[in-house]
Amino acid sequence: MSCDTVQERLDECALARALDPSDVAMGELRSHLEACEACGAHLAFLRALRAEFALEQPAPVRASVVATAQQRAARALRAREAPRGFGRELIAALAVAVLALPLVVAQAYFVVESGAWLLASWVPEPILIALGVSYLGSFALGVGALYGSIPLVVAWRRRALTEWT
Amino acid sequence: MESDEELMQAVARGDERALADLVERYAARIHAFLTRVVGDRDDADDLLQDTWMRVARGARGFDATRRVRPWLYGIATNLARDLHRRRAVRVRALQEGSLEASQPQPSQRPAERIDMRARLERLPERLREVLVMRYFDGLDEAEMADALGIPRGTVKSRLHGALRALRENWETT
Repeated sequence: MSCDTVQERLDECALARALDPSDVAMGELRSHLEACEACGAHLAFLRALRAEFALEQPAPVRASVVATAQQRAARALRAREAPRGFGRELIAALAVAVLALPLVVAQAYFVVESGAWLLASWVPEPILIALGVSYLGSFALGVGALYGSIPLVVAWRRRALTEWT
Repeated sequence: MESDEELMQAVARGDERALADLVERYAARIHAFLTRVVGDRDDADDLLQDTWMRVARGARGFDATRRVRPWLYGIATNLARDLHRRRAVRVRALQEGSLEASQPQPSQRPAERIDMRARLERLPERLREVLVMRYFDGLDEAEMADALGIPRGTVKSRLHGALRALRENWETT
């Protein structure tokens, strides 16, 4: 058996906390260990490491920490069990966005109109129309998304509060 | 006594009692694991809370064919890694001089040091995780592979790597 193999076996024994002479795997390695200085030194290191590891155990977790973990996890579970609502809230978001649309279009129309009036003498009409349509579209989308996000934010906040308080 | 998997199935159905039992069963072990991996008890307290929050949130999607223990350790490990990343960012910020070095990093607190923890902290994060899982928490290679999402061969090589690194460290101290 090569030293690499023996040291790997010793590592496995150490990790399984089976480094004592009475352990089966150690018995199989005994003859090599008696003859090989390097592997003997590795065994000595592993035993010293085990002794050092055995000296220290982390302080036990405080009961209050466990209780808090239980409470917060239970709240998270309850929040998860609560009606999902996001489907409903998405519809609400869309409805708000659609309701806001006429206002948005009206606002954008006046902006485009005044812009067109200012630019009419310099910019050809097709370009002006393309600019107006893209401005109207992006403005409507942006403001619609802004209004539409309100119900989603409200729902998210409600869920977060359920979970954290 | 119900198995972990039975408890987890109950949690997936929204059973708070089962969740409390699972927390009770694993809190001490996960806390000890986190303390060893992150090297700080207060951080371990916080990460323990986060671990169980994630368990509660992920219970419904828990794969019933998986074992619970590696899943829990996997969650705790990911949270510990997130913390290490945040710490690394903070250390970089300190090194760049953008912040005052108001608090020493865990590896720079020799006064309250105990040898074992110091040795563990000197190990690279990935090696420390597997060593703690195997030696202190008794997870087998298959469980660790499941927890960490890596092949068993990688677990094995990391374990030997951890012991090799510890020996090198041992010989220089």
